[in-house]
Amino acid sequence: MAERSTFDMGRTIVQALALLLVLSFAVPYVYLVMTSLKPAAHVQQIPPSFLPNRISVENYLTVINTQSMPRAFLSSVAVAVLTTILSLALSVPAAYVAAQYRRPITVFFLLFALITRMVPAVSLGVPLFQLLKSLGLLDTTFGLVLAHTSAAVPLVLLLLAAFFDGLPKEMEEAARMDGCSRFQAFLYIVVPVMKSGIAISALFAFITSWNEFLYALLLTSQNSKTAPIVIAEFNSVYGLSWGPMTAAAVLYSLPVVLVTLVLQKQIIGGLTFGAVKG
Amino acid sequence: MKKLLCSGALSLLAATALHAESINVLVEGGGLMLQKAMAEKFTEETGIEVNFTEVPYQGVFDRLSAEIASGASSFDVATIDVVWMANFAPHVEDLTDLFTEEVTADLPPALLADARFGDRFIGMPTWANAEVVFYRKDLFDNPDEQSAFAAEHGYPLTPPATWGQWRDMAKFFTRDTDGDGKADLYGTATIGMFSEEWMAHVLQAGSPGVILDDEGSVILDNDAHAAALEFYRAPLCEDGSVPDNALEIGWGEAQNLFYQGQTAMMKFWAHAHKLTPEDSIVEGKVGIAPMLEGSAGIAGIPGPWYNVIPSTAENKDGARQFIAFAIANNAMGIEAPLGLAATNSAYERYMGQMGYEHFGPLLETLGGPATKGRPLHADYQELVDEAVMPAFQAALECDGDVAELLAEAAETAREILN
Amino acid sequence: MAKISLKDINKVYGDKFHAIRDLTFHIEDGEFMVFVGPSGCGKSTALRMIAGLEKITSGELRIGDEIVNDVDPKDRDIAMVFQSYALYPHKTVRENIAFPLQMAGIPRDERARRVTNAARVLELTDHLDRKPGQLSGGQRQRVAMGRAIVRQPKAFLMDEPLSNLDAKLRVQMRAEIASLQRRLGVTTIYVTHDQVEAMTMGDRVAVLKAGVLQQVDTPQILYARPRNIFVAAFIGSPSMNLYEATLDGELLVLGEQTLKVPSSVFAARPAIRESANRPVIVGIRPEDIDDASVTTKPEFEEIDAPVSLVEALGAETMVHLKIDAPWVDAGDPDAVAEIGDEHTAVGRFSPATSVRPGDTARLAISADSLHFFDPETRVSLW
Ligand SMILES: Nc1ncnc2c1ncn2[C@@H]1O[C@H](COP(=O)(O)OP(=O)(O)OP(=O)(O)O)[C@@H](O)[C@H]1O
Ligand SMILES: [Mg+2]
Repeated sequence: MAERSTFDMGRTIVQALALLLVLSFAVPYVYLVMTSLKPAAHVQQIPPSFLPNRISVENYLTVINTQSMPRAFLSSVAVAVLTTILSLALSVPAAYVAAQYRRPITVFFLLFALITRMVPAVSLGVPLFQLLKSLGLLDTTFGLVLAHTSAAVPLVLLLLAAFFDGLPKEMEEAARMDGCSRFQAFLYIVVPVMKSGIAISALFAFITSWNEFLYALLLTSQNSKTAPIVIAEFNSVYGLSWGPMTAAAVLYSLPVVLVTLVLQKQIIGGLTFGAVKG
Repeated sequence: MKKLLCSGALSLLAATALHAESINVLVEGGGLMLQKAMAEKFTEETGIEVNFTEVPYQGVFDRLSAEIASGASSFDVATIDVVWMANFAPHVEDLTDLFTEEVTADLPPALLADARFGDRFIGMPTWANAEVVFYRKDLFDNPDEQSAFAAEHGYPLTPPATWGQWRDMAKFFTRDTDGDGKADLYGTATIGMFSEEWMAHVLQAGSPGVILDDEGSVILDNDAHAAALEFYRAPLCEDGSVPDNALEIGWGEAQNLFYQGQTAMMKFWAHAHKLTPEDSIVEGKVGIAPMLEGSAGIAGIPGPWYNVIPSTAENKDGARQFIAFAIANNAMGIEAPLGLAATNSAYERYMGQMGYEHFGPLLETLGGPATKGRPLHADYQELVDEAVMPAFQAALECDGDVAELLAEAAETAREILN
Repeated sequence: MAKISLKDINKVYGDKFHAIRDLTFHIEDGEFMVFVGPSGCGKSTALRMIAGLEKITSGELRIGDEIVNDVDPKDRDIAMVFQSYALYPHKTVRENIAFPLQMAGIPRDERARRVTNAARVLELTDHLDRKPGQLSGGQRQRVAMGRAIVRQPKAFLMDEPLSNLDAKLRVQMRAEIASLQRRLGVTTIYVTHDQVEAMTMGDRVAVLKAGVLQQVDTPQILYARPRNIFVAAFIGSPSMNLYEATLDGELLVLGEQTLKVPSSVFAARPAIRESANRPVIVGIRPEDIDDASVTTKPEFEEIDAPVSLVEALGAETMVHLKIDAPWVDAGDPDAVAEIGDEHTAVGRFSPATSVRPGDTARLAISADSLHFFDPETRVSLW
């Protein structure tokens, strides 16, 4: 009996800790949501209040009715989706080959990808600007997609290489014995088997582009400006519009939440990856 | 052959027609709002299209720096904050020829001073702003408050004009209205996230400049800086007449507290007068007075923005036309929501009209005897971040000797400059 | 179905490691060939070269009459069963088995029919809609088999397909695979390092050591006439006991003791006839050593040896013996007959024996089954 109760005690503590951890992640977000629902005049208060004393969608209406936000939102979606597709198209085969056919050159290749992540993005901004300018791609969706892809690929590549590392080489070999060419084996067997890892990588690529600020600032002007820039614009020297800014941030977070929910199964699968041998 | 030539010339013509002349202008949100109407008129009159690229505040600096560094700017004009003038000075065009007698005569001296770098004018003022005093008319005009204040302090309750009045009134209005033991109306709020307001007090106290004097020597440790800091922290540290989380309060927070009726007065940028939210409980009850005066008289820190032409601009001629047009039509910005301009004539035209009650105090502040711009120095931002802010915020912790803190800050500042 | 022949096949990994050396042999159509040898000897490498998964460094590989050195695996028409099974985890059992048919472009109905058939043969009918993750080890193994047998390939290649199973299941599957292969008549190469599997399943067995083929023969011949001491020690369990000895006329001098070699031995091995004081390596299989007091052997020679360990297995009793002659290392890392630092000989005594550790046993040696090897070349003397 005593043993049972100590067991339950331990369990309770673990669950309480887990809850605490979840809350520590969630509280800032919930606070953001709460703030966005306050009437503009109540956003800052002494003492600060967590719950709005009156729920108001005023901030949301302000955001939706701006000219810039809905447009920037669409631009963000286009850029992020295209970046995700392009990054995966480039990284999935590259990561597979790097992980499964390890040669000194592939190790170098992956290390190099890592190094590009260590350079501050700012220092790449100017060369990228020059490059896109000379290609006539400044302020175009495709130009920004290229820039974001250059940022997402190293990350996605390393992530995928780690996933592919866990894939037994026999998977491809078995497929080749079963009548596949190398490419068919990759397409019909490797890719579906790795879909969790690919889903996680896709999410990372998406988020990388979705939240990217600096390149978007430097490389777009009117046509393909993305939402993070427009959200930051609410923070003008002439008055920080906290209310609309939080509302815009909440709206902007929804697609990521949505994508995460849609990919939930794959992501959980990917996080607990390792049972490929099945 | 002839036919071929002809069609070639035709297509060339068509191409130029399609490719109408245009200029690209880099702006922050405020710059867009204030110049949009003027730009439309400019296009109407000249046929030159104006494409605004709006970016967040810090983005103006980052974007323009990056473009200049790349040697291939996409902007012909940029509207920049005065604090960046020194950084961009080597990379922008000389605009001296646009400063005609007519133009210079119409601009407050402080704005002209900041437009000049060395012997050249490099930026044309677009609008200027300064902190003025905002107060709650419903409180200040209330006869009960007036008599209670007079009884307590021995002089009448008028909009605050001096340091002493400011402290007295802030203390007077700090109260617990609902009887729960905690103050819910404060006299004012102390801004701990930015130091510009204190800088205005430094000038009021008679300092020849903030942080640096005109020769560029560090004067952070002179008496005026110390006196101003003592005064600035007094409501927080001695009087208890402000919320005690000063370090978390920036412009937006101070503004919101006032709109929510939680403070009776604030020193704030004049444009805010036009922006009082309709649902604010102080809507229609806001009074404006000039910035406070000290021993040197009224002084404010001007917050002007300037139009500059990056040296990498492609259409410099169009840019010049735009800037000349902008200053000639400076008054058009006043109709925009921010309602600001740079020239005296623009302000004077609206003075006394309903809704523009702040123009008088603003002009009086901008033209104040001790009003002066912040130092035009490429290291200005670093001086503020590394030397000024640590001392400033430490002082707002309320322990620590102000003179000592400023002496340390001056030391740091000298190291930065060497 | 096809014959497979290897001619002077070499495999060098990365310019340095010579994994397979001059491998030459011939597998008949429908034959069940086993590759056996200690770990790392190159069995998998040889198999993978035949599969096309590993490039052949030099030599000539034929499947049927065609040289296939540069033919892609998919075009070799060979099925392979991997040690890890390599089932496709995202596909059901049905889809796993159907996959090779799908790739071959077999129409849907035909595919379904053949999958059903294969599943019936392998007793997988009830599990067709499960994913590999939901199967037991034995079931997964059968799915891997199913993927191989569902099409009629020219050959089956199996790389230690049973090594992940427990001992009992292994014995059962061993029999099933062997009988399945006979029924289908498909040329099969089967890799194992378990010599019992090799002996029970193979029509012929190829013994490899360090990339070099030692001997290819039927299990019976490998057992009866091993070509060298490696094969002698490797084939048979427990291993053949090998000692340095001297042959003097018809007497074999083993340490302090002697035994008489029957004339039938000299008749079969002319190479050792009429030798005087000739150093040899003598090999005695454990089944040729018994307890002299209880043995049913009709003819035997007797010597004495101290007993160090007795393992009663029921049907027989393994007895570890100290023979006072120099012990010979055959180079088979799997042959463990060591207790402490001491190398012992093993005798397979009849269960009636009553010897105990510490006793000195009187041994009955079937002298007509003795093996003789040259101490220099380590090759069998015939
Ligand atoms: N890709 C490779 N690169 C270099 N050496 C290799 C490679 N693959 C195998 N080898 C080496 O070749 C030798 C033969 O390997 P192989 O896998 O064929 O052995 P095996 O007989 O199948 O052993 P096991 O019974 O342990 O499976 C080993 O020494 C191994 O280390
Ligand atoms: Mg192997």
